[in-house]
Amino acid sequence: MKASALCVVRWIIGGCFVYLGWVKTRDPVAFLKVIREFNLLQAPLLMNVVAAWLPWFECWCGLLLVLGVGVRAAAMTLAGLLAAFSIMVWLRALQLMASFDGSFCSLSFDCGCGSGEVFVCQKLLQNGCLFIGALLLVWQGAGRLALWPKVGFLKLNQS
Amino acid sequence: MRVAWLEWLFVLGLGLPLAVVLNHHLDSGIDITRDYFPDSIPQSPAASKIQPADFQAEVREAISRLERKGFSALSMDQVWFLLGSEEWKTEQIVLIDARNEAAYAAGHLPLAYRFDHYHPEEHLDEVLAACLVASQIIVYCNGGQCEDSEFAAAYLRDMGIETSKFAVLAEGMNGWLLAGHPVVLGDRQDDLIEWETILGNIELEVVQP
Repeated sequence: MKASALCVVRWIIGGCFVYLGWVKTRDPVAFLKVIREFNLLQAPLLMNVVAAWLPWFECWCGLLLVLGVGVRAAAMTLAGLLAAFSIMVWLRALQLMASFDGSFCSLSFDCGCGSGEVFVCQKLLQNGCLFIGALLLVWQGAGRLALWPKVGFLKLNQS
Repeated sequence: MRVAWLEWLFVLGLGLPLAVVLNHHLDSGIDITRDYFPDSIPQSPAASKIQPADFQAEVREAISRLERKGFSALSMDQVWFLLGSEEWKTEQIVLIDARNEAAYAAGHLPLAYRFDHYHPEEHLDEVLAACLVASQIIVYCNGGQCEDSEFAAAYLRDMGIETSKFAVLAEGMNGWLLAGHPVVLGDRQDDLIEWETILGNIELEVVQP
């Protein structure tokens, strides 16, 4: 794959995470309330940790992708987060469908993703695209304009 | 192998401590050790939001939730009546707005203290002092599914205020506005003058329709 295309993918995914993480850091209490609504984490400490640290960590990983530093590790971390987020959104959507008359794709709610109220299918599709992009970066590497392009699994395989 | 470990160490080993430090130094950061939802009653999935409309059903559910938590509920009519009373003017009856700063600035009940229990340090001294001398404390947030008023009351109760003093406006600010009741804007110290002006205008409208 062309190195310049990989660079664009890196910027898109990194930019998304920097923006969405930043939005959440502006109002961590709102994020905490959404986490509580998911009913998946019961312990206050766990909810607090996720609400307090995850947005900053998302920003950090996003920033690393934008700059092209530690790309494979950052991309793999974000792919893992995206998979976990998607499963949680899916489970929450199934919960809400119990009291919703419309179709699955017409269901919308605030998933705590930083983009406000979203349609479930749209969100899952968006996450799916970002997930594939992140896996692409894990597989192919940073591409052009990376500050630290030589560090990664390719180097590992060669050594 | 060393290089891959270095990369992971850089991403996780630097990212996680950075997140901890940034949250800690941010004014609006989360206190990891606190239980922000004391006496929380888990909602059934069916009771959770997205279904529009039935605000009254939400209010009924809020009233039953309040009863289970040991707080009494007040209706809008009761609060409206109390707003003209001498006890309210002399702060024997204290109002507490449990919403955030932006919501408070956009409109609140007259002479309501702002107390966002997620950031209690901002107004705790002032609110505690008022609660200690008050005979009744009316707490409100947005109403219906909003539980911030209950959490704020629980927080103040845990600080030593008697539970029997608390009452929650179950309809909250959403119900108040839906009913067409007026609110005051801006700082608390100007509330009384602004409120009397509003009431004066309402009386004029009634006399000269």
